[in-house]
Amino acid sequence: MSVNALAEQTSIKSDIEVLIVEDSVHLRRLMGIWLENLGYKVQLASNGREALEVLARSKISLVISDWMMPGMDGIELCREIRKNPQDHYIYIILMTARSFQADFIEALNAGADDFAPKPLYHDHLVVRLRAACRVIELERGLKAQHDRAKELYQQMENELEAAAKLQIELLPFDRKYGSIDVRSLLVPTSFISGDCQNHFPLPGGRVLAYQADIAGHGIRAALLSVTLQRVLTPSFCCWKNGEVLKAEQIVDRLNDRLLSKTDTPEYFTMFLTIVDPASGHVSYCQAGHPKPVLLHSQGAIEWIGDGGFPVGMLSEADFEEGTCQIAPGDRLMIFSDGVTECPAPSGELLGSHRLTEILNMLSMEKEAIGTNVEVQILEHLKAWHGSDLFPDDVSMLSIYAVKEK
Amino acid sequence: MLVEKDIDSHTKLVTLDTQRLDVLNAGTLKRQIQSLIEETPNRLVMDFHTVNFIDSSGLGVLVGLLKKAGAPDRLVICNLQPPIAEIFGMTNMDRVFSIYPSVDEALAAKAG
Repeated sequence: MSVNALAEQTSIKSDIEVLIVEDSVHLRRLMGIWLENLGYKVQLASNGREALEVLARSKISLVISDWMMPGMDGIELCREIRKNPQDHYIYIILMTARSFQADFIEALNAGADDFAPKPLYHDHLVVRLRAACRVIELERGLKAQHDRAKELYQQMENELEAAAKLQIELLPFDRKYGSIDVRSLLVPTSFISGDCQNHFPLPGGRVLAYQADIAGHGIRAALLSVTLQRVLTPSFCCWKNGEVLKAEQIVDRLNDRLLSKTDTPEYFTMFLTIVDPASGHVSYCQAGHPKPVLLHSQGAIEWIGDGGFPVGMLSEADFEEGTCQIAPGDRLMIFSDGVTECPAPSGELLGSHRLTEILNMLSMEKEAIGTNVEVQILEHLKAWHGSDLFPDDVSMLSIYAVKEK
Repeated sequence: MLVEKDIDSHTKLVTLDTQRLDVLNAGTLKRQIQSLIEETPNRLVMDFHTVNFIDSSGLGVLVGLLKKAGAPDRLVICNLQPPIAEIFGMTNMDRVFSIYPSVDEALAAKAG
């Protein structure tokens, strides 16, 4: 192949900046002319130290350096370049008259990529430049892809963060319905959450309060949680004549409405209650959700519920209703499984027995339990986990019958 | 994540080779069991004795596989550790799946 044909194949490489490091003025200039004729942008240095100065101020992609030079030689220059990694790869060709195996190994270990034998011939150099350009262009392509991926990831992260904010805004405000005080707490695991809670008054004076935990994590879970919050409204809970459905009928209706038709069912567990503030009567439906606890004003702790089908999983699921009574000073606490399944640093899960211990401890401190028990449980949970970044969404809903003063 | 053993021409025993069945490996389990369901004529017995944690994604995949199998005795489960049995109980999945205390009982149930 003629030199011109070779030059054509290397094409114009004006975007690749080359640094020539050579102590012989004559050879340095000659190489400079060769490379400029091939279309490269060229910088010159007469030894390693000068080369480092040029590298510091220009965006050099390719270094062609003599091996033997006064001051800093080619090997040392390689080591210096590799010592401070740049944001792009610098390809290094060492020029040498040496031919011993050990010399090549030393140079490769120092960070050289290729060698050009001295005396230097134009077309030998051109072939090596082509090899260098292939590597440099590959690296540039990969870097561009990497940067693009990083940019997209950042964009997604920003959007998730915005979604998480919206989701927090969807959470109900703590509020009182007559003598019933309903409070909620939600700590999402990573931005958006699959747990959700809500409460609202029903026609006739009773209150609907629920907590749900959507299976899985991330965007799909969050979207289903938003759908649930949109669907489950006071009118959804009533017959056409305005009469309120029973707890298990509401869950059954939800199951019909949100039944998953995907291969792997998208479903959620929930604990749904209908509370009568006047009497303290609670009817509930436990749909695969962990057992809630009834904290009696006298300190007794009672776990309630016998389990039940999750919602959206099976069309043939039938749901059952249970009832309990909250007297003034009593509190019904609903937890997501992120509480009992919260791991200690050792990996051991909290479990319902340790949650019972925590609740026992809190109900000893009578003063405390009357107020923000969910926040206190959260503090215990952080201590158990050794951090406040939980691996699963942690949520609690507290339904408290206010004691008359 | 599965160790397979042919019991006879109609029955296959698969032992889960993991302690956790969760969002990270549920998809792999789904693919592997799905193809086994297709190639096993009668009965797939899943031995869960290694598993001590299952999350909602894991449970969802199991239900999806049971639907795929078409009948409860085509995909049966045995050897549940107490925490897993508790979750099956809490979600009524003990009514949906055929669950046996041991491999032997799961295999014998077929003859009976």
